[in-house]
Amino acid sequence: MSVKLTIEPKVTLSYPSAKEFTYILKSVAELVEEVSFRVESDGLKLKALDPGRIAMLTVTLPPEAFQEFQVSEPTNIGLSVGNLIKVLKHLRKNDRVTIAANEEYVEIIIEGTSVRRYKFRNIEVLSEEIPELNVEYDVEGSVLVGPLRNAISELSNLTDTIGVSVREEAIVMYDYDTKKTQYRFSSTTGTLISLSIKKSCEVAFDSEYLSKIVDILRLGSVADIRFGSEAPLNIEITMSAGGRAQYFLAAKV
Amino acid sequence: MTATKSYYTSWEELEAAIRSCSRCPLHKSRRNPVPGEGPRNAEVMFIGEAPGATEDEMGRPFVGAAGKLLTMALESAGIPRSSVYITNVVKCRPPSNREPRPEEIEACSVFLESQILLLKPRIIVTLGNVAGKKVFELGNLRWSGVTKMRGRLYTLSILGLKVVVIPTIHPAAALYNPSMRDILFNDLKNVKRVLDEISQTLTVASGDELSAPEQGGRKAKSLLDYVKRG
Repeated sequence: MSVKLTIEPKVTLSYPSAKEFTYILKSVAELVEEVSFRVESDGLKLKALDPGRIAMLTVTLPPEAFQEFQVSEPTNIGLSVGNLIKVLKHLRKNDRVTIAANEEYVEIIIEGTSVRRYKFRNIEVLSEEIPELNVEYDVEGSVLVGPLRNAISELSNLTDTIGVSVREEAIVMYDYDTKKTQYRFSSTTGTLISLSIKKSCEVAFDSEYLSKIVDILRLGSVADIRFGSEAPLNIEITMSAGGRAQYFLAAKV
Repeated sequence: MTATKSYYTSWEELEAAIRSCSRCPLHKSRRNPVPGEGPRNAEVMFIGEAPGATEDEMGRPFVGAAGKLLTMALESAGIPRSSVYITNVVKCRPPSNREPRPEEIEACSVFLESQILLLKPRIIVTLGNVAGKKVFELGNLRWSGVTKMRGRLYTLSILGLKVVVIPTIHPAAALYNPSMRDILFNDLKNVKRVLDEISQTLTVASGDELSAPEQGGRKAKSLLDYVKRG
């Protein structure tokens, strides 16, 4: 890296696009106030489980997703997400973000037309571990992220509850209460890439919780979407820059 | 789980304390305090905000227009009103039907907490924001507004009791709005479903401590409902 650190780091990560990193953090910030990143030699992992245990976001970024990835010792990086968002706002797309940490401090450097440097205490984040989910999905499909983002954003403005179902070889998202508005993902329109149906089902989800992942969806072009009558909604994206994000959302009553 | 001991040892003592209460300024303008009503072994407790004009007049909870709508919604869901305990966060009418102030809610909290401890309900249904906020505060869980919180079940530990809390809108909000009315009616149908499941669990468990309702076979409401068991 070109800028010198002020701490003796145990991990140093440079992410090529600060803007993309902000999308991840914005989605995390919708769920939790503090977040812990686990950095090991095989990459960075974070898990954000909202206090109501309704939704969980997991993000895995492999070493290849970073411009620089140095780990001398596995380290947890604990940060207040709200403060981090404030720091990272007004970023330009091509700004580079470097995060270095030891047990005591986290140093963040944003390099663009100018260099900005921030130093935080590495806080211990108490997070609840959720055991392995026992899930059988009735429907599994892949859809284009752009139309999915539009559907979630627009339905969230219209309704508190978004229904998800399969009809005539299409995944349908709709205004659950009035059923007046619906978005169809079908192979005919080109928005549906694949679809596997074990059993037809219709499940309702909280629109506010669904809209929490609109930002992170920007990072990929295709989303795998899974749901079922006895399963949470699972939306998974493979990020263009490398890495995966998975969002689990429990069904509404 | 051991429940916290009630501040009042009997319903009579509690209701007498409410009737003679002068802990906040609301006692000056009230005609009758409204402690609450219903069977003292009810499984379901409904908690509203505060008495209105008719309630103040009669000393009974939810007997005005909103109360009639609540009764209709209950009957429509298959829950007889006479089977549930109904009360409010504050027991005296705030002037001009304004929202109760934080200090009034705080002053009256001892009565609501005692009612919960004496009744030991399986289910608490909160009606509106004020009741939701208060009950979630007692359960040490963040309240994010009724619009966001309703439509789900929450298993809270309130004063040492494990209670299923079902937030819904206040019937007064549904009086002149058909879509809100649908929400209220549907939410109370969920109450009935949970109540039936709890009754089944109790029959099967024959006196064992009640499992959290999400483990009783109903549809999942949190990610923990999908966790691998056994």
